[in-house]
Amino acid sequence: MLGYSEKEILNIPREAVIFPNDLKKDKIIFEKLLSGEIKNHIDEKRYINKNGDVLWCLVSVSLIKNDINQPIHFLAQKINITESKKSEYKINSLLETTKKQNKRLLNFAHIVSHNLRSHSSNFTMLLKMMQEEYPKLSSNPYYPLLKVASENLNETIENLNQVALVNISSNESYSKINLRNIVEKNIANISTQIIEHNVDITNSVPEHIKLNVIPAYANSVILNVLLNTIKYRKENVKPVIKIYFEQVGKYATLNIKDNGLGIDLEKNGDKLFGMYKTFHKNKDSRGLGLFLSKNQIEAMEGKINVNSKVDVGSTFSIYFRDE
Amino acid sequence: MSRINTVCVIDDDKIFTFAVKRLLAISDCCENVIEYSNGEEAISGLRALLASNRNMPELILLDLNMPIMDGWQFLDEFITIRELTRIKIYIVSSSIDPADIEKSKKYNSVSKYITKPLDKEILKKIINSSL
Repeated sequence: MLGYSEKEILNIPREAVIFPNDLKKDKIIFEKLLSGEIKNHIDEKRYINKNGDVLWCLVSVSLIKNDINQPIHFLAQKINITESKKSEYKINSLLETTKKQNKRLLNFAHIVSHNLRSHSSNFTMLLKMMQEEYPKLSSNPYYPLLKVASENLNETIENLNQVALVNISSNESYSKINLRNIVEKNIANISTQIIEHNVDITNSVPEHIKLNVIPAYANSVILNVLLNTIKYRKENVKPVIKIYFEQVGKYATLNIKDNGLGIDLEKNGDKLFGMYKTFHKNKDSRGLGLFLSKNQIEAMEGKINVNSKVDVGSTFSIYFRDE
Repeated sequence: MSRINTVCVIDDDKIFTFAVKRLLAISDCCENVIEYSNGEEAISGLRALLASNRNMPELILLDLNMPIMDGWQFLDEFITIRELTRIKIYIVSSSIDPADIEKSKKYNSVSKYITKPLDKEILKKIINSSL
């Protein structure tokens, strides 16, 4: 393992093959073994091979004694674990980097939403005051455009802020909710749209399903997906939405199936839950909805995904962690 | 329209203070406006007013994010000055962070937390409730 022949290794001192920083530790172990305080010892230690490279080894040492209990020699078994040590180090440093990046990103979102908001609210305030003080100016064709731009800016910042908040305050309080009831409640919330578009909606979630969730997030995710299914309905086809429950491993899963436009997942699958991605030429598609939903469900250690076929429909599956 | 004597605006944002002064003038609901661009300036300004026995403001509109001394630090200092406790404070900030709104509730001297933008109607409500 170290690259020495048997003859060579017997003729060089131990100190030459053990990594200097590990020598002291080694000495203490030997003393403990000799005094009988311990019988054997397993540890990770560094060695230096013939080429001068450092190797990580898993070492098991024990003291061999003769019939009359006198120590004869040490028996050490070494396994080269350099490769797995390297991967371990790589994973840890990747994890650290990711943690740092994530923190920076959240910080950035927070700062951006805060600092931008002070300017956008100034625009809103000034435009409103201008309209009140100089009504003539607001009949200028540029005025309504400026106003819309200012409103859009406000909305974007508002959305950005919501996303930042979901990620920052994941210590929001959990409570037990009845899944069927909150689905019913959200259906009731969009009853005007259900009537307007003559939607056939069925909720077949059993009555006994109780989940530990952050209620505001769970509500928001369900509402978002429901709104999405209606928004992307097919023209001239009666929208049919089926809501049903399924236990998938450790996840209590709520499925929301529609017969709407569907999404080309091959083209857009990886962008679907991204920020500001819209795939339909629908005038009020904002694209933030699903991004926010994904953040909210992930804050509750769940997940969301979709199965879809263009012109056939989509099934959104919301996975709630269920202990 | 009910009027109050003096309103004090503590904000580092020149556009905002311009707009507030304008709104106050248009709605004709106060005599004077005092403006400070950060907490420290406000504390020493208010102390000077006290010392010279001049008219104190009845109402403070306080921003949170400011250089040198921010809105929170101003509040911590403000509550230690007994003679100022009669002044009503409204926080007027662009922050919509729930943590800021919660924190403001811990200060008895803060009447309300208002998020920008401000308009004539909101300003009138503030003036009326601080009479």
